[in-house]
Amino acid sequence: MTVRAGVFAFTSCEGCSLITLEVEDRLLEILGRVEFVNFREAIDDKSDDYDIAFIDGAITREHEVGELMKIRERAAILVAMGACAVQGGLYFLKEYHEPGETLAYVYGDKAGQFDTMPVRPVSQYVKVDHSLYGCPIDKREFVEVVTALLSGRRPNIPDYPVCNECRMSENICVFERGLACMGPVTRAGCGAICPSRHVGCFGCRGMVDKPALDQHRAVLTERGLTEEEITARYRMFNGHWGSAHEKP
Amino acid sequence: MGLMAIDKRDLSAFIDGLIPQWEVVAPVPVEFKYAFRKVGSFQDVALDYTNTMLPPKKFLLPQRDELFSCNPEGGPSLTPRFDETPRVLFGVHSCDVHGIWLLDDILAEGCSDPHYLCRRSNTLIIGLDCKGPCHDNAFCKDMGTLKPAGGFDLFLTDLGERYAVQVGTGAGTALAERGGFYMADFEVREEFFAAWQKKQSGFPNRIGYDTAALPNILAESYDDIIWEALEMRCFDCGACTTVCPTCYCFDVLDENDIGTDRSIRYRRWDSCQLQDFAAVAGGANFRGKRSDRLRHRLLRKGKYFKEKFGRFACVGCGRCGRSCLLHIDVRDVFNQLKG
Amino acid sequence: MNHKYVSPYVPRLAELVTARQLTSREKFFEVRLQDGSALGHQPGQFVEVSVFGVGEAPISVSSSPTSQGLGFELCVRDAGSVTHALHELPEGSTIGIRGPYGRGFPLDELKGNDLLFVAGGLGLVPMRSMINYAVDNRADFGRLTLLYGSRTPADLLFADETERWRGTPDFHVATTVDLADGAWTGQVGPITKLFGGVAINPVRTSALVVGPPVMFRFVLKSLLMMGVYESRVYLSLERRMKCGVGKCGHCQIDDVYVCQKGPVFPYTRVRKLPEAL
Ligand SMILES: Cc1cc2nc3c(=O)[nH]c(=O)nc-3n(C[C@H](O)[C@H](O)[C@H](O)COP(=O)(O)OP(=O)(O)OC[C@H]3O[C@@H](n4cnc5c(N)ncnc54)[C@H](O)[C@@H]3O)c2cc1C
Ligand code: SF4
Ligand code: SF4
Ligand code: SF4
Ligand code: SF4
Ligand code: FES
Repeated sequence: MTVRAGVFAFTSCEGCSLITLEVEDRLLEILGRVEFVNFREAIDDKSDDYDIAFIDGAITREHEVGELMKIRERAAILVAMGACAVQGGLYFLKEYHEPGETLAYVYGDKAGQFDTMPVRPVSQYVKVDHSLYGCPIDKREFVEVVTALLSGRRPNIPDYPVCNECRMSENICVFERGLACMGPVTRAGCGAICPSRHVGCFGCRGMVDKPALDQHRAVLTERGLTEEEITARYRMFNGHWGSAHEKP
Repeated sequence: MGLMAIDKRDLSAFIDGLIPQWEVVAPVPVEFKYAFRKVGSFQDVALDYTNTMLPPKKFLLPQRDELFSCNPEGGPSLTPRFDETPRVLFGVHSCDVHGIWLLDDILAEGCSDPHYLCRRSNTLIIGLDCKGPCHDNAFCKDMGTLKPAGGFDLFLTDLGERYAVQVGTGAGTALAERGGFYMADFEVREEFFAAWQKKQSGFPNRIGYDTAALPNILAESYDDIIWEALEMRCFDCGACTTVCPTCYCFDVLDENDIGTDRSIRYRRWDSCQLQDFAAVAGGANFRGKRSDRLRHRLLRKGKYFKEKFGRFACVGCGRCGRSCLLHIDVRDVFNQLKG
Repeated sequence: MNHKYVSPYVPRLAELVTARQLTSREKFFEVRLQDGSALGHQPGQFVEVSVFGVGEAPISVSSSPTSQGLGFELCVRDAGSVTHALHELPEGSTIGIRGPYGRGFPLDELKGNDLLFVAGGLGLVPMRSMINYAVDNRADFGRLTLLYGSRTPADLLFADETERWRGTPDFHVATTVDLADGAWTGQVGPITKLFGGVAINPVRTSALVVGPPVMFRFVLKSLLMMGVYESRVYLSLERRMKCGVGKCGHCQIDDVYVCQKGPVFPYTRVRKLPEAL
């Protein structure tokens, strides 16, 4: 059985779309079972007939909403791909500024030519069947989702904190290096790559379903972070979550 | 079994002599900590190490342990996977030897686990005495794990110029026959005894009562408010069970090979502290409360296994407390329960 | 490779001989082990069913060991990954079976007693094994009573068979649904509603209870109020299960491994386990 898949980029750097092409060792196998159609980065001929839609990017403009809804109607399975699609990503930071302020900053007096609206994750507008987390997504996890969907099982994506994988990798906890970390509330699956490289987790994969926010706050406070620093950490990738404590 | 000895200068030749035949695993430094890794030479080994981040169980129950592969062609056909790599775990402290010894019992009991037993039967364990408490939250003395009582082939105690070597098994005797070892004479025995006395007095007790009372204390604390209080400090991250030398619970998963339709069933470390550990289809979660999960772990450590196997499922290594960001430390909980 | 080790995690191969839709959510399967051997189970035991490449799920054996068929029967609700994949498999597919596992109903202890079967929802699946065992060994048991509660009339399982049981000598069957439709003329309400209408002799009765977790407390209360001895009440408890052989830790109730000591427990045992009910 081959399935037809479409990859669609909305407001994003399209890095996640490119990752789907980068899965070198598995790519040929995947292409044998998955036929990519409507893939802006990789193929030319476009088709509107697909079973799985991978959505890359946040929804930030009026016309994107309509396109997204059309894709949802056509696809049997819709996968939100990457932090932008799942959480709004870094684009969500715009929501912490006055409307128009960011537009003016970026485009100067041409700002009026661009339409923009609040940054929202894909799930705000359509039903999402599966999510691929991270900024960017993890290659292995992309392969896992594709193979799971082809085999008719639920993709195996963790709902426990990064700390778990971090300890499995025998990392030295970055708190012991005097750094702060979002790992205790962030969804595992990346293999704790940031702490493995001696930086704290930024929370790019979004939070676990039921994060222990008060406990995390206690850890950060105990390690000397101020309210502002804590809020900034939460806003970075988890703003749509209402920065955990405050609504944007 | 018997007591032997080996001169320090002969140890390196002994270990290096094992490397062509066995995968030799030993503690190595990782920045300011230590980890058990495969070593290429005796030089890599950290003899004076403080307890590793993960216990050596990872070489007996790997984080990913393939149980069988399934080839859909012709049947399908299922091929079990057994790891028969000949391996030596060198430099294992007595707390971790106790951990392995308990896993040996747990995984052999009832319906025995051949994937573990196969690895275990191909693994030789050479322990090494630590000289003082490795961390200020280690409570091995209270848990009775200061000296090994089983689960090792050879066990080395530093006597200055040489090591006293306890021989635990026939395989240990065979190892010792490789050269460098000699029977302990009266002097070695004296020194060994003195070293043990010194070790014993060098370790403080860190639990305020005799741990023989622990199963009862835990039973009486079943409804204590302490579990709810601990709830405020736990993230459900499972770090505590990941680093524990006696935790072995696992999840079982299938993985597909997209090109060939083959699949692999494997198990991987799971944790009773994770939210979904006891959740079933239909929505019920039989240990949905964090306080229930914490209590379950502590009761396993200090009560259930003691009653079943006569030994605690906590060897007092202190790893869980050091890995918990809000300092939930088994030792502290045991102390608090007594009131 | 020829090994001295035999892995309890590697299933035996089996064929899905028949697959039949029972209700909108449940499917009925007849399964035969490929090596032709009998499963050799007791009523109340379960097997671990593998769909290769998807995973494994614990499923009760629904047929009685006394049944004449060459294989055994399962009844599975589409509840997730593995159970859904099982529903999708065509007849003739190969699946994996481990087990039978656990302890079923204590046949020796039940012998000579009146049996009161209390089944809620899918609980009828394992109960069916025990009921047919009792029907096939009718002389070994006294009066039989089945109280069966279901969500809606459309969810009732094994309707034909329930009728057949009703026609068996000295077998009283009562059913109730939570939500009735127009055609339903029977009882409406929770299963405990049926207790008022049954005539049992409590001192001769053993009660067997299988159902969703919420059901147990209410049913237990009714049973004890009717005068059934605590020591003659048996419950089958569901838990998360992975290995089925007492190793993975998922199924524990306090220090008890349900996959080993259960799923059927005497109430007197369960009462001492705070995590059980
Ligand atoms: C002893 C015993 C006997 C049983 N007998 C029967 C029987 O006879 N018939 C029967 O139908 N059932 C029976 N069950 C129940 C059956 O085992 C479960 O329905 C089955 O295990 C579900 O497995 P699954 O792979 O299909 O579902 P899973 O894919 O494991 O999911 C189950 C549910 O949980 C959710 N879920 C679980 N994990 C996750 C996750 N990580 N992310 C998102 N969602 C998740 C899913 O959405 C789904 O709704 C029995 C159980 C036991 C313990
Ligand atoms: S570094 Fe971060 S993810 Fe790793 S254990 Fe510490 S807090 Fe958790
Ligand atoms: S460690 Fe955190 S920030 Fe880094 S990749 Fe993982 S989830 Fe993202
Ligand atoms: S390490 Fe601490 S926070 Fe994490 S699960 Fe264990 S007790 Fe809870
Ligand atoms: S419970 Fe904690 S102290 Fe005890 S053995 Fe496990 S990790 Fe070590
Ligand atoms: S199901 Fe694994 S221990 Fe019971």
